[in-house]
Parts: sequence; structure tokens; C-alpha cells
Amino acid sequence: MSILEVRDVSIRYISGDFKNIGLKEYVMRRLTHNYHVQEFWADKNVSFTLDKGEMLGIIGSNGAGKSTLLKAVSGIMEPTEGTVKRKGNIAALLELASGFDKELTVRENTYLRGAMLGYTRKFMDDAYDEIIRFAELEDFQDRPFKQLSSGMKSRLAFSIASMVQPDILILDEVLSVGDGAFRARSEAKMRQIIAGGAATILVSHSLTQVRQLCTKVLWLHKGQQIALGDTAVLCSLYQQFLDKTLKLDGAKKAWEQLHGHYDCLIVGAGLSAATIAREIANQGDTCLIIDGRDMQEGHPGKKKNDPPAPDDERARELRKGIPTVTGLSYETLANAFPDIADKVIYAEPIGGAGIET
Amino acid sequence: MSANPTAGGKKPGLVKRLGLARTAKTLKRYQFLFEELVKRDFKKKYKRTVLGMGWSVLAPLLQLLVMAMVFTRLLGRDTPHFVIYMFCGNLVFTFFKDATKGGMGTIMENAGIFTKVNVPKYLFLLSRNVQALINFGLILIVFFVFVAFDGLPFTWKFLCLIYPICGLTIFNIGVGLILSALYVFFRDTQYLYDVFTQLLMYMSAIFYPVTRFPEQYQRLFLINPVYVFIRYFRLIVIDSAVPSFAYHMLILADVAVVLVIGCAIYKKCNTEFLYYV
Repeated sequence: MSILEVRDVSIRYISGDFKNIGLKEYVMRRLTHNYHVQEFWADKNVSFTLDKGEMLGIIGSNGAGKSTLLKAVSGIMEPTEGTVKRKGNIAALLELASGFDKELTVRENTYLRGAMLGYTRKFMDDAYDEIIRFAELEDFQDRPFKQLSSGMKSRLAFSIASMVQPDILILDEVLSVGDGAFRARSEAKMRQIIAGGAATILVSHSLTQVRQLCTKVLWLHKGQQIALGDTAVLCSLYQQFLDKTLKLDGAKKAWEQLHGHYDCLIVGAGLSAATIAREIANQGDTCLIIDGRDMQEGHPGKKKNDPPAPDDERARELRKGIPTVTGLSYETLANAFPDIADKVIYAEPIGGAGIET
Repeated sequence: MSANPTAGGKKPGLVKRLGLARTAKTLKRYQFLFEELVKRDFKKKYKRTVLGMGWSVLAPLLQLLVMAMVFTRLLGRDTPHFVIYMFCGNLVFTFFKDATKGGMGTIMENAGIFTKVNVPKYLFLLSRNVQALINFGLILIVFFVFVAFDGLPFTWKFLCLIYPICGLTIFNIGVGLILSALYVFFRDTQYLYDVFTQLLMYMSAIFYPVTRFPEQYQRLFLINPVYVFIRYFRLIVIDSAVPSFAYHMLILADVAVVLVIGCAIYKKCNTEFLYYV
């Protein structure tokens, strides 16, 4: 049984209603027949489950509904529709540095935050020194919180929250806090917690981090669930989407195509791959083309404005109607979808092709 | 706010009891947080003041001094122990105003916390009420000193004061629940409430004796729950008389009605606050 089960969760924001605009505006708009309530779905029908020791990465551009979803998962917000079932205690680190009281000292804030996270006083008394040491704030304990730099604030927040051994840990853009040294230590701490059997949700804009840590990925876009599944494949598709070499529909289609079963998988992006694919297709067999290069963050890849290779036009002509997924190496694909095809053909760009069954 | 004492029927009582049991459990779980919140509220309130907590006592005393100078000659010539009479009114009204006005903003002020961490939002209100209660306790001590100086006898009847103090505390929480919820949705609440408390102060017979009004109108004052509490204090302290059973029931009804309304509003809006802060 999953430790966390999110089923068909939708969250709606309403703006322009009576409570939002106030009495005067309400009357005015009613009189001028201009009263409209706008609704906005921050998340629509999002579902996933999470087991012990798993780490889910949530990716998506700004406004995708990631933070809102986390609020529903952590119980801060009630979903408008759908259900969230959780087992065990949950520690959510959302927008870390905020929520502290800037007038209080570091020590007071530490205790207050610890109390909010549901720790006991005894636990805080014991853990306090360790928290301060981990956050490297020994010299700042009795300073007002507002004198701290934002990095220090985040470090403190992370240190407090990571003290506990939660069953579900939610991290919203928190691993990218502090300087390099702290980042390394916080990641080590994170791995320790995950190894301790926690189920973790990570929201990060660093795909490298997601690739390294997550066991699966949820891709959201404007509240819609685009895909849920293998980390490497989805990160690669998402990277292409960010590079604008792949449109959202293209990514969705590619993800769909990857769930099919094919007679033949062709690795290679050039003319030779297209030729082989066309031949196989003409024989009546199904095939899938991948171009064999993993799309990583910072990978040069193919940019939108690159001049087209001379054979590109012909290759595209030949590929017409044959499912093609770009930015995936065979290893990545085979890892995620081991049963996708009966045989694999390597089509080298020069023309030499190898067949593997 | 002017609670109707007849509306404390059976059903709300049951709802309240069920709710209280659960609340008590939650409170135990969040005891540490609650303590820290109370501490925080205190530290923040007296930050950068020279007298610190002294102001809790001094402010109402100065107010009393002003009232004594202005009204003793004007309105209180025939009333025995007029300073204590006014002090009773001031004591109760200050507590009420302090707790409810402070309570009104608690949800808004702590939005930064409950939008990030899943904690029951009424904790902030309760913590503010504890602060108000402690303030009240301090003034109460000064009040007893005044009573002693005025030559009024201390009797066992003073123990009865526990009843209205508890009642008023819960009443304040109820009003705070209503106000804090309203304030999230309508920021106008704070201005309206300022006007309302002013009106309520004049209607609570704090600095004038009710006996100046004809007999049949004096009963109308009992519609005002704050006056009901004030009168209880005066009866015990000045007249050394324990109020009737019906009077106790009136207080109970006032408290119950406000608390039930407060809890109902709070419960209904609990999940909505997030969208409006």
C-alpha cells in the first residue's frame, strides 16, 4: 500500500467574487452588470502514488501548479476535487525562508519553527545545538532574524526541518539554497532521510538534480498532468520542451508513443535511419525511431535556429507517419521501457547499420 | 454581537461538546507550538518599550484616572465607591476590547505561517487570548488593591468572580473567531469594529450609574453581554451579593451563542482562508 496516494486532485482558485472585491465593488459591478466570477484551475486531475523510499520529482514551468499541488499534499489546502491519502507524518518545506518572524531572534525562531513542525520541546532542547551547527549559525543565535542573509535563513529552515525522520518529506526548491558547501551537505542529509525510508517529493528547476535524485517524475503544465513516469526519459523530453525544440503536443505524443509496442526500434536520427524505418514500415511492421542522444541540461542538442542538414528534408519525408522520439539514447529508453520493441537496429549516420535482437 | 439569550438550544450544545473534545486533543498535540506562540506574542507586544509589561497595568490605570477626573463630579456624586464602580467597568471592557481587537487580526497576521505549515489556525487566536487574559490578570491584581484601599470587604463571594472571568474568556474567543474570519474576507471589519466598540463602551454603563435611568429601561442594558459581565463584578465587589441563578444562566447563554456562532463560521471558512489572505 502506498504511503501517499493522490487521486484526481483539482484545485480551483476563484477571483472576482464578493469576498474578493469587497462590498462597494460588488454593488457597483452588479449595478453595471459587470459582475463576473473568474475561476482558475491551478491543478486539474492530477494523480500519483508514492511508496516508501521513492522520490518523486515535479517539473514544469512557472505557474504549472507545482506549489499548489504540494499544499494540497501537505494538507495546508483542501483540494477542490479529488482525494489525498497520506500515511504517517509529513514534513513540508515550502518556500523556506518565509514564515519566520523577523522580529524574533534566531533561537526563538528555531523553537517556533520546530514547534510548528510538530516537534516536542524536549526534542528541540536536544536537537537545538545540532540544528545551529548544521546551519552554521553559531555566532548568530541571539541576533534578530531580520539581520540574517537570505541564504542563512534558508539554511536554518532546512536544518530545522531535516532534523526529523518524516514518512513523507516535501521539498519545494530547497536543495538549491546556501552556498556550494552547504548544498553538498544538505543533499547528503537528504539522501540519508530518503534512505531512512521516507517518501519524498522534490520540486526543482534544476533538471540535473532531478535526474540524480528522483526515482520518478511528474510533469505538470498549467495545471495539467502531462506525464508521470521514468525520470531520464521525462527529463529529456522536458529539456527539449525548454529548449523549444519540442512542443508540448509533441512531448505528449512522444510520451504516448513510448508506451506502445513495436516490432522494431531504430536508433539514429539521420537519413539512413529514416530509410531503414521506411523499408520496415513498407513491409507492414511497426517501428519507432529514436535519435540516440540523451538530452541533458546544458547539452548542445539541436537548436531551433540551426540550419537544417542537407538530408534533413528527405529524412523527414521518409519518416512521415512513423513514430519518432528525439533526445533519447537507447540505454535510457531500454531502462524505462525494456519491452518496447522486439529488435533494435542501430543506424549509423554514415550508413553502416547494425542489427541487434 | 448582541447575543440573544434564548437561542442556546439543545443542538448547538451537543455540537459544541463534540468540537471541544477534539479541540482539547489537538491542543495537547500542539501544546509546544501554543506555548511558543504565546511567548512570541508577548515578546512582540512589548518590544522596544521601556516599561514592558508595566504598560499592561499602566494604560488602563491612566484611563481610569482620566475617567475619575472627568466623571466623578459629573455623574458619580450619588454613587458609593464610584472609582471601584468605574474600575469594574473599565477592567472588564479593557479585557474584552483587548482580546477581541487583538484576535481580529490573528488569521491575517499569521498568514505567512499557515500557508506554509499545516497548523490549526485557531491556535493563533487562542494564543492572543491567553495574552489578553494574562494582561487582565495583572490589572485584576491592581483592581483588588484598589478595592482594599477603598475599604470594601473581601468575602468568600469573591470566588464567584471565577465564573464571569471564565465566561468572558470564552466569550472573547467566540467573538475573536467571528471577527478574525470576517476580517479575512472584509477588511472593512476593523473600521466597523472600532465604531462598534466605541458604541458598546457608551452602552456598557462604565462611567455612569445605571440607576439614573428609569427602572424599565435598566433591564435593556442586559441585552449587552459586556454589561452583564460588568454588573456581575459590581454586584460581587461593591454590593457583596451573589447574582441570581437566572443571571448565571444569562451569562452561559451569551457565551454559548457567541461560541457556537464563532465555531460554525470558523469551521465553514477554515479551508477558504488560504485563498483570501
